[in-house]
Amino acid sequence: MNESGIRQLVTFKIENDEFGVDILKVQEINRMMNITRIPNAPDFVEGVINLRGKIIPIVDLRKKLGFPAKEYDKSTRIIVVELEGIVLGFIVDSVSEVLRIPNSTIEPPPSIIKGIESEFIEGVGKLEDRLLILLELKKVFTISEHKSLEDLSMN
Amino acid sequence: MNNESLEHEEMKEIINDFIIESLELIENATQDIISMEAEQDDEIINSIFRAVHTIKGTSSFLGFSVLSNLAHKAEDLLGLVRKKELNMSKEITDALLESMDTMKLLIEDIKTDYKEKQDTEQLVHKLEVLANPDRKPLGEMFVEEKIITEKELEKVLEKQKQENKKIGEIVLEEKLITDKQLENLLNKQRTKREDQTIRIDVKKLDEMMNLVGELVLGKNRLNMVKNMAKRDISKSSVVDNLDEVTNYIEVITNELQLSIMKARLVPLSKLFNKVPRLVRDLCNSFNKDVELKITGEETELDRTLIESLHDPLIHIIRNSVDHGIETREERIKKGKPERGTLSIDAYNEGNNVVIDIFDDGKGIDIDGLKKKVIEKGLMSENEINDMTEKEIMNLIFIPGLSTAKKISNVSGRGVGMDVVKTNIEKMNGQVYVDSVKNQWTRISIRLPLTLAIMGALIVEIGHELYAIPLNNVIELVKLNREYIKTVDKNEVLMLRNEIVPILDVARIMSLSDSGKEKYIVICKIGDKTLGIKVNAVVGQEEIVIKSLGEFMGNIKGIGGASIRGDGKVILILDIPAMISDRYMEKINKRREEALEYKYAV
Repeated sequence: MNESGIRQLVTFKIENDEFGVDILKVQEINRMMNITRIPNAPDFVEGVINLRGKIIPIVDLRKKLGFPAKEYDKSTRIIVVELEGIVLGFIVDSVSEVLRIPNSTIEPPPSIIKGIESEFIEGVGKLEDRLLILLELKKVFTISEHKSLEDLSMN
Repeated sequence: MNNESLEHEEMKEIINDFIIESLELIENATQDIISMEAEQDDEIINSIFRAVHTIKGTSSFLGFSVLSNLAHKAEDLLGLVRKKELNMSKEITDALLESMDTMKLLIEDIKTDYKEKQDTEQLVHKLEVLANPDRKPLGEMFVEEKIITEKELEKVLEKQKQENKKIGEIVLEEKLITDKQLENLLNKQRTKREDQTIRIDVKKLDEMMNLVGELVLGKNRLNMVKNMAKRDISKSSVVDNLDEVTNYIEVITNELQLSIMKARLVPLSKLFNKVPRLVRDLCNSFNKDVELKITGEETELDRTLIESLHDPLIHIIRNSVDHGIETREERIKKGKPERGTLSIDAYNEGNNVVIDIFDDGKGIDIDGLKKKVIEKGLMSENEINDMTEKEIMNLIFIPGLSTAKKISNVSGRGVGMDVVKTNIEKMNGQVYVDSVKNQWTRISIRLPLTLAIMGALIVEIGHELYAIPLNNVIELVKLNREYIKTVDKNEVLMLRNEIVPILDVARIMSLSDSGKEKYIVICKIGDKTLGIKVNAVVGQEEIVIKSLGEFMGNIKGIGGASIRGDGKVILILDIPAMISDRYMEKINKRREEALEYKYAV
């Protein structure tokens, strides 16, 4: 939360919900690319892509947040973020806009939002006519994720 | 030394102090030099250097010019070793020890009548040559410059031996050369090849290697575009030109890749230097008598590999001395030579470096090992009976044996060997063992020259393309169902009277088995041969290995990824890990069964 009390967010959609992530975490937004599947990887890991010579993992945010699977279409986007040195991308239905909202409009998460585990949520932004779910990316892709990946690879 | 000043008691005292101090310094330095032979240690070099430096300073102050000159030359040589511009070789050690002895004699001279009587000229010359390894002998230069013929040189050298004079003096005396010519040559000799090497930050080399990697990818891509152009555009001079320039770039890229790779190579001596000392210490602590033979220390390997090889190598050597080689008494009883032999041989084989660690100790007791493996429930008797002797020996590398201390008494091996294997496989290497009971054991490590770029076979399995490292592949055969049999639920291929098990990669990787396989890639991992069914073979390509990144962690069976010419990511199959996985599966199953059985009883 910066001093001026204004936050800049990249907003995107999955199903009919609108989400926001801190713009400082976002490296770039790409159209759908050719994804190479990784055998034995967890379900929500779609595979890896070649991002200008770097290989980065891609997570399907739909699967991760428990939404039903959906075919990719021309509005599907990959949001590339950097979290504590690890670059990864996640797939969203579409990217909407860059928003500036005052901190005062952000409220702590209610215990359950439509089945999404509330630990993934940093807060809820109340806009004039809609709600914006602020994702805590660090928690969405937590260490336990690595663990589960490792476990899978071990077995 | 001025005799008058020696009248003074004070001076005498100073000189006496100098004599005592110097003798002590020389004594310590001598021991240090000997220990340096076993292990290059910066601290030890520094202490030798300081000792010689002190002697040089004091002797020059007291006016003992011969001693100070000798110390000066020895210091020069040591300085180069200290700066790592020279490696401690046997010649250097010998020369330094000789210098120490001569210094000691000089001091004895000084002690008797304050006169330096030792002749140090040849030794000083030797030190100079060693400190300047690229410096050519003057005689050779004379011949090269066509001043004298080789025959004349022989005569001169003969004369040099008899008269103990400098070669330059003799040539001058014989009027074979003018003063001026000699002076020019001496200057030339001094400056020759001074700037032939530069030191470079490893980071910079890594950077270059990365860039070359990218260049290789670019080249692959260009190749693909060229092939597309050839296919789509009817013959035109543009396509011909493209073809030509692509080939040209391909050649240049390969050369560049090779030369940068070579720049990263470091001789194995860097690692082997530590071995004599290690073996000596081990012999002392386990009361063994072992003769160490090392060959091929000049074999070169990528820098990073040398570093990672350190621990596994030390582990294997420890095992050999501790568990392999018998005590003197045991050896005599067995009718073996009293002294055990441990030999380490390194050599190149194709694009690989092989390191064999051989000992003539008690070898692997196959029956004992079998018993232990069954006892521990790691495998069933039936399974073991199906294995060849070599396969059984290589069980020393499976985990589960290692934690048991007892096994080392039975088999003579097995302590932490699974760790050795894991480490070596991390380097894309292989390790296997061969042995004859009561006679010898040989552990072979096989490593690729470099990690970053490798040749690979691109194949299609399921619906995706995968890369199989070429150093795993021995041949490619067409799949003919007639030659495939099923043994105990596992498929095997009959290949020229040999039975080759087929690794079901599609199942291991949870890929839909399409049953469309047309070829079998025959791989050799260690001493195991196995086949992999593939749908299609795309071809052979140079691939740049990239990691899947921290987020994905280690996925067994995948050794990394690479980017192909069309920009698509391709996964590299890690066959050794897959078979160890297959083994692990079996082993884990057995272990569980054994446990259940135990509880049931």
